[in-house]
Amino acid sequence: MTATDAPVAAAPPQPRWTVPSFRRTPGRYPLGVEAVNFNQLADLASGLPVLSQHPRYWSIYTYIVKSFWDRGLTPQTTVRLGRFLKPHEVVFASAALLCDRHPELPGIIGRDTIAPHLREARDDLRLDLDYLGQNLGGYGQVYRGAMADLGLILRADLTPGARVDAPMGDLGASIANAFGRAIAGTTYARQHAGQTEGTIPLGVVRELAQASCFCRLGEVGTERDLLVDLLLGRLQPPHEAHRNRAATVRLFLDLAQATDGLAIDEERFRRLLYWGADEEGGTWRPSSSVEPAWRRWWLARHRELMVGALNALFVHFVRWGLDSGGALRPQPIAEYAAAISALRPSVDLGIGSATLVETTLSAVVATLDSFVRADGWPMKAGTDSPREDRILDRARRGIAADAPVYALVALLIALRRVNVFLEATAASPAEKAMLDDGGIDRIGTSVLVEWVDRHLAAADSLADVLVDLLRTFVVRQHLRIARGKLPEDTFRFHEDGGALRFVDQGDHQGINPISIRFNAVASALSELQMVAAPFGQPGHRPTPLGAEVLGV
Amino acid sequence: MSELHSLVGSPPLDLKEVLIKGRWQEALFLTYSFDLPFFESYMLPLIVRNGSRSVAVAACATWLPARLRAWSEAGEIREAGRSYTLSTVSVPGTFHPKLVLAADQGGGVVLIGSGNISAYGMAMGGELFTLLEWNGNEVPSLARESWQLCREIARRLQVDHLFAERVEALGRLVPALAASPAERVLVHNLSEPILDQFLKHLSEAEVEELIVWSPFTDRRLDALDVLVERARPRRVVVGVQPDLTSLDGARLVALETQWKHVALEVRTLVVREAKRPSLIHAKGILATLMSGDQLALIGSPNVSTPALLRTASNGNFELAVLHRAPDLREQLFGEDSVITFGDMVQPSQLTWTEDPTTAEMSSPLPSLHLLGARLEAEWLAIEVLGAPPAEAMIVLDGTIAFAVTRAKDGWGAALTDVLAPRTAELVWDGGRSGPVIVADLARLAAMRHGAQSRQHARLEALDYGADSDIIALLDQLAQIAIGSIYDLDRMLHGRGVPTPQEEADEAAGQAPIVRLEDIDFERVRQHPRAHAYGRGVSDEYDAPRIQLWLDEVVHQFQSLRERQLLRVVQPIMTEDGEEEPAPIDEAEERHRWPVSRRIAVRVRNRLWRYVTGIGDPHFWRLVDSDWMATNYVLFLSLLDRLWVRAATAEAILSEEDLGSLTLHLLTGYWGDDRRGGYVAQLPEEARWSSAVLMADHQGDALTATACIRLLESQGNVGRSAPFAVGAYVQAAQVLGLITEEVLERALIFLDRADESPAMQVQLLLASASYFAWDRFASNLAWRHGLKSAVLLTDVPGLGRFVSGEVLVVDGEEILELNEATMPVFGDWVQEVRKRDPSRDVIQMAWGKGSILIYDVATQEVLLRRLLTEAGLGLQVIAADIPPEEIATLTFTLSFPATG
Repeated sequence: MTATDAPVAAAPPQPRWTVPSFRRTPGRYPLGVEAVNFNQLADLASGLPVLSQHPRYWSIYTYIVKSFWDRGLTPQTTVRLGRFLKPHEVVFASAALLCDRHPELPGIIGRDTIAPHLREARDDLRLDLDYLGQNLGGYGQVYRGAMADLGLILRADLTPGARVDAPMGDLGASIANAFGRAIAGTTYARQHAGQTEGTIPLGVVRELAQASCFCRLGEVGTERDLLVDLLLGRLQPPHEAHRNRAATVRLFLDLAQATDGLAIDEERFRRLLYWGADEEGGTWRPSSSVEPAWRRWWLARHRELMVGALNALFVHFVRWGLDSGGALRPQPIAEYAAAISALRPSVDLGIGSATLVETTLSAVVATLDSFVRADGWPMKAGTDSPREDRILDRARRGIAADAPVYALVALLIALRRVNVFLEATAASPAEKAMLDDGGIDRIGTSVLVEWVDRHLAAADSLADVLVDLLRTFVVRQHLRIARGKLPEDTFRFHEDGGALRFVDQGDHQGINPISIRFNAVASALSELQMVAAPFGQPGHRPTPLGAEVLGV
Repeated sequence: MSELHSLVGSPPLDLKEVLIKGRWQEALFLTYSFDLPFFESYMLPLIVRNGSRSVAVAACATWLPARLRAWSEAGEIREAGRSYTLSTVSVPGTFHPKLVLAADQGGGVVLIGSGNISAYGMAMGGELFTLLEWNGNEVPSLARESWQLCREIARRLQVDHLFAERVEALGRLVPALAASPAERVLVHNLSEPILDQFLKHLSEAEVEELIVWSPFTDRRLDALDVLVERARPRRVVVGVQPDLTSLDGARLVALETQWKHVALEVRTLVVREAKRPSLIHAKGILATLMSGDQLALIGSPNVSTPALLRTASNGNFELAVLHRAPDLREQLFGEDSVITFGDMVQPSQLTWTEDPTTAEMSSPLPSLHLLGARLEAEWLAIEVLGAPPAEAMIVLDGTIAFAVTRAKDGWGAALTDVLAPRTAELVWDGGRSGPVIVADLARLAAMRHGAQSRQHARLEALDYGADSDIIALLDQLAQIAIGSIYDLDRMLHGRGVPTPQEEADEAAGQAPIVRLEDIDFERVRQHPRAHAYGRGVSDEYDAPRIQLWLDEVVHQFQSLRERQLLRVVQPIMTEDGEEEPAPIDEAEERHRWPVSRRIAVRVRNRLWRYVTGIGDPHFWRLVDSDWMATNYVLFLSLLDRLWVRAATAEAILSEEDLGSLTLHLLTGYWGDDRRGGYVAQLPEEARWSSAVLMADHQGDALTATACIRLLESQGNVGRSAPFAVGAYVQAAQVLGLITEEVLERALIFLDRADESPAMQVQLLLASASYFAWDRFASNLAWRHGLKSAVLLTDVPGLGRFVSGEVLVVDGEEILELNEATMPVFGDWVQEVRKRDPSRDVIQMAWGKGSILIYDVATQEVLLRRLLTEAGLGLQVIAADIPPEEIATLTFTLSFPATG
């Protein structure tokens, strides 16, 4: 017997297996709500991005860019500038690493490649070290945007007609020249400046370190003073960004004055900023002159807590999905909803211990309102009220079994505190804008406040609220953000009918919060010698220069 | 070449590349499930960007409606019914094919396989497809078969007519699709179960091996049993994923004992290079004959009863391609394949779970079924199977209900309160059907004709949009509207849209000056961006987007008017049987989303820069009058929508901001009592042409609306309003733009249709002769370059004057008499004489030092110096001077004081 062949006279193309169309990458912020935090912090501390640690990089890069122009190098393209800039960056980074005044400084760009090379190299520094993929090196990676914000650099990519970055007018030239004068006496400046190939003797680099290291900035009064004025916006045309930055500098100097005997790190800064006190005896009640800036920073921290709560719920949900086999079979959201609805708040939260289904939102809000009103505004230290940051800590970024309860309660407390904040002093336009920032798409604080009000009006249970929070601000939000990032595949789950298929993108340990830029601002103040020591050490009171800036 | 192709095998398929490469004018998609948000946010933009003008999707009616409801509630349906059609297809089981057929006149693609339209499918892979692309006029047989099948689906299954229209449109575009196929490899079950067809192809051949793989199977494995019993292979290999494949292992063991002389192997399917297990969603049957031939059935059918043993009249609708080649096994599961066979699996490891695509569903289709809905102007036509009962309602977007009525052409509802519904559902006592997507025929037509509705952000975003909607609208505005010399400069120098900072600078008048000598209007006109302003839309294939926006203005008005009319005429039956007019219930207020302050600032800046542009004489000289009129109407409409929203808690701009913007727009275009606006300097012909354009797009009513809003404003705007409105009235009267009919429409915009348009006409006309002394003084100062000019009853240092108010010029200054003094005094005296003929003495304080006095009776001009060394002095400096000659007087500064 043979198969009949009449109807299939010729074969169609062969069937083909499909492969994933998108490049899977976790992305850092699956709910996308951190974008608002970034913007707010960029408003408060423009020119001081998270990774920037050394204001002297402003001088160094301006000096290099100006050198590129002064030498008339062509073609005038970003690629060509990068080829000129990166060898110089290697030299100045090496100088800082070789400086004999101190142990290795943090925040030196290219350190991971350059430091081992310096340890191995006997005599010479190679200028062609491949330390960073970015074609404009650390300048492009970290400082370029900040320097443009400061008004120091004219960015070619944002300037019609410009083909390559340039120092911004007299301001840029002054700072580049100040640095040039600082290193003018070195062998490097005399014999190797402009060199982009080959090697430079390490002895020359060590000598250069005596002038160019970040630690030497204080010895070059003109350059330091210029950078201080730049930071405070005194040299640039008036602009809100410069005023905000100057206000932030003064706020940090106020902090330095109030906490002179303490060591302050980012976490402690968060506590002092938000509560005015911490468990270790630190207190900080900002003086009236810096209060407007403090209130805005407080709102930035407040939003961090809200974002932390949403992320904790997100991580808990994704972990549940994966643990339930959601990578293999679709998992109905309703099952998760049922599971979390049956959770009970811990007794010490003070809102009872009935299951969330049995607990009404209105009762919980009444209790929480009594707490936040007892805390008042500015918040009194030492009350026994439950604190949203501590509660959120117990969610352990979504890893804790009952993380959803902690996340929800922390979120509710934070949102109810907004009322107290607004009742005490009407929000300024800038504060109102911070509360509204994000709108629906990026979940503004005001949106969540109204969302709670709607649930209150509907007399919902805590379980209703939590499930709606999950569906509206976690599931839908993530899908919207992930779809927007295609063809980068950042999905943690996909809709499949009424259920979700989960994808393991490695969120098991939770999502790291964004930096609140404490380190960037604090290190700038320290290196510019506005404080007597780094904030991480006691004795960081404002120097006379800092006191003058603070106005005391 | 084909042999070589077979030996090396087909490369893995990246579906994204198919979309990116595709250049199709018409596209049809058949799918079981449909990830609408993903399709709209990722796939559709790719397809449209590549030139697609008509996209039709048909999905399963048992799957889609529940999801449509959820997406509608979440506001995630943006393009369905507007940029593409989305139809549901009903069969007793599930509508389960996966097909893409897309083409333009130069080629096309047909893609048939196992994957639905979903982000998950594209992200994970593990599907099997047959992909055939062609170029030129030689349309391959499989494409013809596919098109003809789509036509059959439209004819024989329960689907709306829109789908049929799109199928026919594709046929018109590529007529060769209608030609008879040279071969038949497409297997579907419209008439005959798929398994029967597959077995016919095996005929009586001896089967060496059957391989089956399917993520879902029926509960009792009946389809597999029938396949094995009828094909009688020597060996059966079942490919499974132990944790994923839904298959009853115990039942398989039981079947094995029934199958005589059949060796059964259950093997894992392994995804090569996969770090984590993921579902292989592909399904198929591969038969290796003793002759060496291999036949495979690859496509949508799972190995289940409704898929393989039923037809579309009592089971699923399924679609597959029949492949025949000697090396199919190697192609599909060979060492180099994406998927290979792994270890043996004990059937007991396998479990069955329910899946709707494999469930037996033989329940009859409902007697009343909503197939589709289409919006034609204000009439929503529904397509139903069966007759709706008398009480049936159409529920739009899950919230607003309208009674179903029978019209000449079928069932439907007259929409009065809803501008753009996304979904429609038919609800009656004891039942409901749908929802289905509402097809907006005008928008779909615009899309087909190249308007790229996808990129046409609706003005409605200003009414109900959130951040992302408003950003989309702002982006589009920046891309197409040429509203200032900065726009001209940008487009002619090849730069993109302004950054927010540039926009803020331009709005604040702080942007660098544009070198106008570089700008040549002929170059402007030839710039592609200028085509947005093309008028005379006789060529319906290229409706400019600005035109679409203007059409929306008209559409909005029509809807408002209908609503107002209905309020008046809607009858209700009273208890005693008499009809009396009563207002119908207000539609439920649609939700407005708050927008962030950042967005509000961007909206304000963008409007300011355009409003400033409309008042910029440099700009007037560079663009033609139709552009100006178009801009004017468009921005007026934007402002009107913002006014409406300003009255709500979700205001984007405050009424104060809007008052200021509106005032500037009006003065820029029409002028005020100080200067002529744009219209004043137009040649008469252009003035009439602009007026016609305005009347065509409700610009007349919108202007009247703006005038009423301004006249009713408080503060500075309210004080300045009559003078701007007056200038408009003077120009508009000549052009016939102020009539009761226009004001009637304006009142509808204001939602105050119960007020008298005649009264509003009178109010507007009155503004043409409006006069205020403080404005007169302010204008005097402006005209003569004075620091200030005010009217005071009580002059500091001098006290009151019996004769009335004194004009005080620069009262805080010690001011020398100069050449401006007498012209100012002359204007003042003339105005007083005109408005208060009874006043006999008229004074003007010139700085702190002098008072000029005009005695009406003697016609003398007198000067009193207040700060002379000799003390107060009064001197007659001219006599017998009529008021109109005062301005011409000259005198020396050194005349002596007398008295």
